[in-house]
Amino acid sequence: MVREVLTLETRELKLGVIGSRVASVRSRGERESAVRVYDDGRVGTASAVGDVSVDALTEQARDALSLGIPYAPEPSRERSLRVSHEGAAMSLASLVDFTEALLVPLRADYPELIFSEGVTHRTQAFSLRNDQGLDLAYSRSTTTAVFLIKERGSANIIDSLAVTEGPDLTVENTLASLRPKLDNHSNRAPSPSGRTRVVFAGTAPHAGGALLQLFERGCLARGYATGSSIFSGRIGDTSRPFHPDFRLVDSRDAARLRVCPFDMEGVVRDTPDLDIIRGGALRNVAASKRDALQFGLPATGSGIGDLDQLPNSGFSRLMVAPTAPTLAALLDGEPGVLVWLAAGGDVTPAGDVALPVQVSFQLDPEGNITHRLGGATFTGSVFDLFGDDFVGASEEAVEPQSDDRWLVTHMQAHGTS
Amino acid sequence: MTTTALDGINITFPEGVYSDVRLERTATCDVVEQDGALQDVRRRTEAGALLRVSHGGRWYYASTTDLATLDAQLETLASLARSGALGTGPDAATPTPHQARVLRFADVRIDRVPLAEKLAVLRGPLALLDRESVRTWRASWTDTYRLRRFVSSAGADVTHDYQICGCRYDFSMADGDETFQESFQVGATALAGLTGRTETDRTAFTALLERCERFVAEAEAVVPGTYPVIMAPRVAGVFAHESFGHKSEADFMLGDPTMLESWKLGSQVGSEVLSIVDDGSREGSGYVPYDDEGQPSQKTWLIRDGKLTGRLHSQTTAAALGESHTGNARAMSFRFEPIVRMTTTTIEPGAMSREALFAGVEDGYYVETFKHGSGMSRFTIAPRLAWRIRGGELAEPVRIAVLTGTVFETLGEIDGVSDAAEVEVMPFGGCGKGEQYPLNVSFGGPFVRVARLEVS
Repeated sequence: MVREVLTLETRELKLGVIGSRVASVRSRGERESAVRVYDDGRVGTASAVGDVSVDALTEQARDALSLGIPYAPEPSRERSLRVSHEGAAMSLASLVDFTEALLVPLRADYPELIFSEGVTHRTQAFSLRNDQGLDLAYSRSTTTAVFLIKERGSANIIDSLAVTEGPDLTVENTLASLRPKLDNHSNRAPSPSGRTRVVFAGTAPHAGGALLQLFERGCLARGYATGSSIFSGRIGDTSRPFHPDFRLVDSRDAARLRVCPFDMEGVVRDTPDLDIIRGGALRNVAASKRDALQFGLPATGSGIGDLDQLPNSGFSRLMVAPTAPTLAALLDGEPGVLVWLAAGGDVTPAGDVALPVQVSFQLDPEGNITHRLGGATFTGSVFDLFGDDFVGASEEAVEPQSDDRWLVTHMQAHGTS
Repeated sequence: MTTTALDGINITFPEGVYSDVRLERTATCDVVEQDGALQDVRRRTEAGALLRVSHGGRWYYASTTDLATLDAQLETLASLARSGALGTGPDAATPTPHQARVLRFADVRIDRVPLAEKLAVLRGPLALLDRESVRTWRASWTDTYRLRRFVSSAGADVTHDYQICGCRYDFSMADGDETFQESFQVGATALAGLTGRTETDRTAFTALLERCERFVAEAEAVVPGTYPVIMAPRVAGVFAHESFGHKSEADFMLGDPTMLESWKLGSQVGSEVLSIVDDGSREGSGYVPYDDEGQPSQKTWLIRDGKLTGRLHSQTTAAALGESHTGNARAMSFRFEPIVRMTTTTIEPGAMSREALFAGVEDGYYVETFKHGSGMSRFTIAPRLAWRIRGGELAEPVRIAVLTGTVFETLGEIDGVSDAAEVEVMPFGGCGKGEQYPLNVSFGGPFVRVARLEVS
């Protein structure tokens, strides 16, 4: 019998902002623990929140073996790794000072706008250990400033969004990130229409998240192996090719990005970047150890899930590999449209994307914002967006403190105002 | 100084500030079976508390699982508050204290049902998935029993419970190169609510599978454009929730005095056939007898005959706007402070028969199921099963990525509402707002016809 112990400690301070002023503070401290017990091809689990005895959880997990949940692969073993992406800790006083230093100029310079939501500083420490010599630990701290923006007198719930995140946010780099969108908020131009060169500031859910949904859903072991994915049977197949420069990777490269270098089954990849698409063709699908064994696919270090959950196949950080140094190089002398706030976009199983965009900005050929554009729905096929219409992704980060990179392609814009 | 016994813990409320404690004990069970093999069983019990102190117009919160030190944590918050750590202003009004004990599910607690009985319910319809078209499936069971107690320095002491259980069957179909994912789910507030209707559920599940087989074989991509659209009750429900429900949450009006004029009660905001209500007292996944400020839930008419008639409030928003608390201050769990949220939100039935509603569409679309929805200045719904309507009759299936529209234009474009409403009990997922997702809610309505909606 092998015992595995997982722990997650979270400490968080959040300053809530209402009507452009600090209105509340919330502190949170929590420890979650889970135990997995592997025996004779089965697994039993138990978990709890708070101060609990690992021995008691072990007993519960041992009892859970009787449920007969199959787990055929060998637990990971003999690996020690500790990675920290912790920035400077923030006390309540420093978080208050930081937030006030943001709000004072925002109130003064943008009196027509109302800011709400807040600033959160969170530290999480995760560990995964077992009695076969596995000893993995990862910690991360980050500060996130999120301001929902409403125009005074507007009937909308929100009119725009200002958001930035990083391990060491400063007042200067935060304002530098927020100001270009705020400065142009009222500098309106008509909605885009027709074939448009579109720019995404990464693939965060509020912007270009829908673009990668087809891969997130379709490039998983079970769907691929059972023939229920549009990509089934197409590893290495170039008959419906993507653009030769389009490379999609799932990264666990903790030296380059603030990502956890191991998965929830304790696997540390030999090569941290897993190619999903490269050279125009599908190369891999995400497979946890359990799925890989069941479906006869290579295990890819792709077990994901909550602490108290048996891992499923999934992605850590799916991103488009860089093809050019900067956004300006990608624009190559042409203007573009920055998709800033999209909500509710989706992709059909056949790969047709529709992205209703609430806020977009006109970019000049250098990538500077010049106007805010009216609303539009952007459409296209994933096979075109990352095929003939693909332009590329940048080495340059969207912001100095960010892991996100610019992504440029073409879509059809259907303007609404 | 008031002392209250809280599940064996004596709470001493600090002096000179308003304070309250929300203690929460939750038991959950989740089971996943996939393609005939048990994949995961998660049983979890957690206890925690959210402490609040109000002073000088600011709120000080702490979320904790360390229930032995609640007094000390309250005092820490009070000291911070007294020091004016976040600034000072006039003290905010505090919630009216109520005393109540509403334990609706004490005799049918789902956390006391043996796992074997839950598995039997989950596995009951699995044979229906044994079809050539189904390539992979995943059956999920979930149940939650939650006990909440709210006590305050003003004398509130409210205890109530909440329960939900249900099954969801996600399946993937393929026909040649075409693939399609859909799900069937059932929910109830007690096990008997699931076991008592198995034949009805089997019939509905079988019919859904047959429609999905036709869909995957025949569906063509829609030509983007503006069309008449009829929404099925569950789609109309998410439409009500996303398009207008979030706009009825009064916290978005804070900090902008002009909002009371823009959102004047009595103003026309939609078609005359449209009425929307929110009701936390209704049994189901949106049931909230008392909210997380200890206030009783109520039925609130948001729109009546197209006119704005009400909005949803917490203590903060009610005081700021000079209106009454509606029992809609809700938190997802003890980890979060309460904010203004919906409960069970429905479009009220109208006068037309379903047949008459369809007969009025010469060329349009019928949206039967959906994946997700969202709402800002524009709302969106991502459909799954959708059909063309030709000459008032359902025709071929069609693949639609997104329905979208400007909220107020679309509310004005509703030109027909059928005469019977259906309300979903939703054991999985819920509503997201800011950092709090998923919050248990429910929604529903009748069949709703919109004269013009953007389809792509």
